[in-house]
Amino acid sequence: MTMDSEVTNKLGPDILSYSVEKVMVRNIPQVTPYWQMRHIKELMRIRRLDGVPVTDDEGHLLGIISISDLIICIENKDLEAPVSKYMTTPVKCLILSKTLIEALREMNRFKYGRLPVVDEEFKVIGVVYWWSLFAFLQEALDTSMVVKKTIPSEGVISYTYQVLGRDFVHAGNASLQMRKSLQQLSIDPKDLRRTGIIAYEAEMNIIIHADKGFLQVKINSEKIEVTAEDKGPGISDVSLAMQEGFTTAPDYIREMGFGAGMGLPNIKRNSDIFQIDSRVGVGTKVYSVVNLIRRLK
Amino acid sequence: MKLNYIVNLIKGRICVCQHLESIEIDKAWAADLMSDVLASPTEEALLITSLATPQIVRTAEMVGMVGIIIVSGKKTDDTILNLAEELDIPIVSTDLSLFETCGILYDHGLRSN
Ligand SMILES: Nc1ncnc2c1ncn2[C@@H]1O[C@H](COP(=O)(O)OP(=O)(O)OP(=O)(O)O)[C@@H](O)[C@H]1O
Ligand SMILES: [Mg+2]
Repeated sequence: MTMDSEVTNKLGPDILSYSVEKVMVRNIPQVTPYWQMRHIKELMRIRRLDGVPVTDDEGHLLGIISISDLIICIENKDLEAPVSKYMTTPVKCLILSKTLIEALREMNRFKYGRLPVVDEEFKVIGVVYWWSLFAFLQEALDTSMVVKKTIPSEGVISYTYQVLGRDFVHAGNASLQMRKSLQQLSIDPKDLRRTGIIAYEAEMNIIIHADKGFLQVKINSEKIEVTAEDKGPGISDVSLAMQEGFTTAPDYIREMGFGAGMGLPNIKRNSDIFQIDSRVGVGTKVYSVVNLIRRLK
Repeated sequence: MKLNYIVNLIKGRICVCQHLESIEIDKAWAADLMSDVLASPTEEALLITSLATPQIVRTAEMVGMVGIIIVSGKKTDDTILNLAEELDIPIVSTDLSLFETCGILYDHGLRSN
């Protein structure tokens, strides 16, 4: 695989325009001003929260009680006191319609570790914590697999996706991205489906059985070629691996619904041309061709 | 038949993509193995499964499923729901078992092909 083409990161600027809803933590217990501070202490300890919004009985935002308020209270040996005595008020908050980038700015500008999110009636519906933002961004960066779009020769488009072994969290992402790219071309749904199945099974084989690899799809006006190549243990007996039901997947993989030993036969069934090369201790390469029902313009 | 009609039949609830409650559905497919999901004979079917994992959502999307019923009251966490929302695939949760769910829907005319 040549590396001369431009690498585009799928983490586009659009993720920052997501609603804060995507990053907020829901199911925050409703704390009212007459709670005792000792209950706050317990709540923060058990739920590992470093701050919770304080509301009236209807859920309208009144203030916030944070770990620093709690520290002051503990220093005063005043744990019987009501929350109203120690809470910070008024409090900065975010309206549901705000975007991720606005949340980031607010938190950074005021150095807040958390911001309650409210609806139009000022009722609390969640909290954005620095760590929930962090988790979201990390996830977004992770899933932004390196995707390369190249035009290797006249009339050919190629997409390449990186696939990591054991990365079950993102399993299937590369194939889904690929499907999305192909959907923009006017490919017959039957061909799209076959290609999708091939790509997905091949991607899963890399994730389940190998260390790392890539999935590549090349399209011209007549056919789609799918290549999945990995560095990994390889397959010692390919004809055995090709048999329906043959699998070496461990139980924990089967619990996730994989490992029926149907992947390779499934790839073959959906391909017009199918090739598999594998070298023990080196890796495996699966190559499939789908001839298009309808020529592409 | 409409999705919300199906939801009523199996005493379920739509956990995500409520706005798709009136899509028309006449095909369904039940599977607990990814390979079996991929082997579904049709597009635009409803997937009935007892697996509540993000992979099942991606697998369903790969073969053009229009919705997913998760049976036996299996817990659906945020990762699944967020993903389904992103992909516009409604997730229905029901306490009925796989067998009961399939039985009821077959009885009301859903078929695999
Ligand atoms: N990329 C690969 N690297 C190493 N071994 C592989 C690879 N792909 C397949 N194999 C071997 O071939 C066997 C059969 O593969 P196949 O895809 O048919 O089934 P599976 O992956 O075990 O289960 P399923 O695909 O149904 O989830 C695997 O269990 C594994 O031993
Ligand atoms: Mg496989």
